[in-house]
Amino acid sequence: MEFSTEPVVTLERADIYQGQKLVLADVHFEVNKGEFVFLIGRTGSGKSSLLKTLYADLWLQTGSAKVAGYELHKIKRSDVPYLRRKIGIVFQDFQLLTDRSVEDNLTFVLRATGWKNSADIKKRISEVLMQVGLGTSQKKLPHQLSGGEQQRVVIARAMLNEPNILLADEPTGNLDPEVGDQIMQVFQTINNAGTAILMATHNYDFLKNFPARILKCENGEVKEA
Amino acid sequence: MPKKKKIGSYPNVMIVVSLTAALFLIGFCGMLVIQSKKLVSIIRQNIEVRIFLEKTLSDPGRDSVLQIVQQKAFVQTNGGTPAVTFVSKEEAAKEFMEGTKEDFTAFLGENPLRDSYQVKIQEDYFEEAKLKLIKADLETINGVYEVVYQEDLADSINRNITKLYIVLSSFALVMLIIIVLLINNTIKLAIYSQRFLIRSMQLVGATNGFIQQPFLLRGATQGLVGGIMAIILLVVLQQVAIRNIEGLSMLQEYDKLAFLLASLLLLGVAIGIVSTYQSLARYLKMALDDLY
Repeated sequence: MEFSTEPVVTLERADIYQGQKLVLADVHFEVNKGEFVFLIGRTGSGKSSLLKTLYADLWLQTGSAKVAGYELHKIKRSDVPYLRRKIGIVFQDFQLLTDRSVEDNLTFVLRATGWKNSADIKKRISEVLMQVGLGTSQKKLPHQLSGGEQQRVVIARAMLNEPNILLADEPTGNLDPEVGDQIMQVFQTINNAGTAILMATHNYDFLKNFPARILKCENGEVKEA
Repeated sequence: MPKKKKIGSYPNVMIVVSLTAALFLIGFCGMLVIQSKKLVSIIRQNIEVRIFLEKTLSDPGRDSVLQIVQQKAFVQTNGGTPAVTFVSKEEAAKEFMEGTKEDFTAFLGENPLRDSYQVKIQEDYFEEAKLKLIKADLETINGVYEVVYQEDLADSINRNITKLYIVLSSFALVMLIIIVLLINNTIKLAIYSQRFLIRSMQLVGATNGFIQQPFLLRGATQGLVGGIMAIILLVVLQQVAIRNIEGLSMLQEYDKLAFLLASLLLLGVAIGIVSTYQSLARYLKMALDDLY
């Protein structure tokens, strides 16, 4: 079996726009398989816009980018769902559906991405919940879980389709430091199993406690820090 | 315990009620058109031309006029027999006297009326110009004294019925436009209330087809339910009208009514699907953040 060593994310001379406004110019970097990368910068520096461009919510207008094998400068609208299946998204505003249990939240995602066999769905859900340390919470509703547990479910949801990379935007923003560290450990476990992670954060303690490569958004540019 | 409201609740009742109202009004216009057409058809089928014969015409002459008239293409036939009736001058006098209650033979001394043929004309010739041509044609036959028909009746009925059709179809068209806009708006609001679900599906990589499927199915179901309810209301209205308006049952054409009601059902489903598809297509092209 042949393993590709191609980076999961490659950006070359990419300009990132939010609407008509250019927020980051001439962006170029790579994220390799199994790499953990922090994305830091002030509020409004373009971190979220960059991540949104990577999952094709914002359209790449100039430059080129390749994510999980999809060329964003050429991608057709109909291919976007398939790109997103290869990316796990953990965003603050992408919360669980509050009207259904953990299991139903995860089943919803699997069904939406083409899973049909109920036994396979149950098996995959058990696997991802074990991976994030929530083996016994399948039947609970989101409001019956703590903030940290909810975030674990969100991470489990992002892992369902075995993505090449997880894009996380402030995944611990609403959590207290102790729970935040626990969530970071979950991310590390996932990363150690081979999934690349690109995480935008304001929490500089993580940079000390979980040393990894850092990209910094500043003055309309992305630099290695 | 009050029922828990699901994320992105859908105003099903509002949509079905709007659809029912729209389809009912459109169906009502359709029923009026069918019945007015039938009424006009009845009037047209009864239009007659009267051929008065020369007083001196012999019996064989009368028969030869009848033969020529029966062969004309414009003469209505009832089961293959041309609808031509002979009215002798005696019968005509009797009819006249019954109508006027006056015995004119008493002071005239003789019957001044003529033998005549009553000819029923085919519906297609129900136009003033065509009737004029028929009159001119019949008057060329040897032994025919004069041809008479009720002038201007055809054109006046045609004019009025055309006006009625224009008014009714404009009304139905305006109704249709208003309702499509209304439904579109309602569905837009409904989909807006479901934006959280749509966003979740988009973020996890659901295809547009998968996202659209349940919405379209719901649109079609709502159209179907709206259609069925409109049909029930129309049938009830029709039955009540038939029982209360004398002679209305003569104007009922059940095959056409069945076609109209089936069309309403299809129209309801089509409006449901098309409006939902249109609103969804716009949403699915938006950036995820613009959904808020």
